[in-house]
Amino acid sequence: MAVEKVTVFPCGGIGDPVSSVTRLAGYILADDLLPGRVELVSIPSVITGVPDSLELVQAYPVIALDGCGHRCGSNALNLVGIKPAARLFTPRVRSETKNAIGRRRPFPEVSGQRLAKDLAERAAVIARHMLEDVEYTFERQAISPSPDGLHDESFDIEEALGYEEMEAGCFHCSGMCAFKLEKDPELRRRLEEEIKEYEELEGFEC
Amino acid sequence: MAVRRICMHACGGITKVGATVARLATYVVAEELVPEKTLISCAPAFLRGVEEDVLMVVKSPSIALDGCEWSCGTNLLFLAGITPAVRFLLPEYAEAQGYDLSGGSRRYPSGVTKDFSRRVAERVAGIAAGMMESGSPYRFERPELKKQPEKWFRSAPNMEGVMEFVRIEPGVYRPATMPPLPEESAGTAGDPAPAVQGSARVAGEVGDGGAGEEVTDGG
Repeated sequence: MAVEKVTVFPCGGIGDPVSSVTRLAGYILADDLLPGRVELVSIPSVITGVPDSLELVQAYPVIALDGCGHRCGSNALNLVGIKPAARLFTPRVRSETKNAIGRRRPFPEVSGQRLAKDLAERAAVIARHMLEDVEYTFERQAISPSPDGLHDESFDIEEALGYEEMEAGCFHCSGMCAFKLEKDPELRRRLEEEIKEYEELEGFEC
Repeated sequence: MAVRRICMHACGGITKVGATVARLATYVVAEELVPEKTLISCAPAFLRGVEEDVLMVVKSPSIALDGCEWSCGTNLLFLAGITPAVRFLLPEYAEAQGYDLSGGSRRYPSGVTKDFSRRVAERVAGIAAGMMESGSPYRFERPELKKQPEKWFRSAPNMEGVMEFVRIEPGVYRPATMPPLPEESAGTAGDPAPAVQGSARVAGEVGDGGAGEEVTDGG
């Protein structure tokens, strides 16, 4: 069946530098790799009920990008009763690729920019499978408050969503259609050659 | 109680330039202008229940930075039983300050995105300094955290019908139920342009209660 679009849900944090990495990964995916086929959604806009955001998490499969061990992206989706179609866990991807998160928050350092590319590459592979494979199936989901994990970090979000690691850092959620992870050298080439890395941005040292 | 620290709560959006401005402005305040005394609230971590992120919005007054009219920064706090001390509506503030965000980058801290974020940061820092100044009359009552999932998914632009505001200046608002800012009491707040929001009035414009009188109409 495949799907018309894929929604990407970066962790949305702000205090930890990794949040700038997941945010940049979302932009690389939506602006550079799969423009028009991937939509970005933020956590607060879903909870508060911005109509476009509600539609995007219900109508299309959602790829969650969790930035750190708090797993806030996954938790936020669970709070609103939406199961992610896939989840990328940045600490695991970072361990695999050896690209450091860095320390700067306004915009990632070069290593963090590379880590953002690593995340975007994996998310793009998963998204393309969902967009192009006729065997990929997705049923529209419906939001509903599921406040078990609200303001409660003891809630085990990994267990609640039944995550299973398919490849380093790439997780499948229980009850959702399985996705494939096929490497694409052309995607890697585009990331390396077409998406510029910055050591400095108008006074912000990267 | 007197205020020792200020919590900044950026809207957390990702699709609009205003959200990036909100995010960058908090960094400028916390890392350059008012280090040590300002905290950056992380909305997802707050929802997750990360202790420091819950405590900071309960123990310190919040300044919400809304990147668009959907006001997710203010609204997310409201849904948890917390009313921000001040709310910035960044598109309106940008227009009033002469910034055109239409060509701004949501991805990079550059151009008008960067320039305007510094302007916002300076205004936030000024308000924060007034609230924390030694001898300031500003007082803060700790709110009680509430779980109100029954109120989720009902957004209204500019908190229409949900929260009423006093307008300090275009793009800068104080919820009517929160204490007047020191600059309001001193009569130095903002400009006297007429309110544009249905539920807001300009500080100093109202009745005989003087600057910062609470708004009671939903007008």
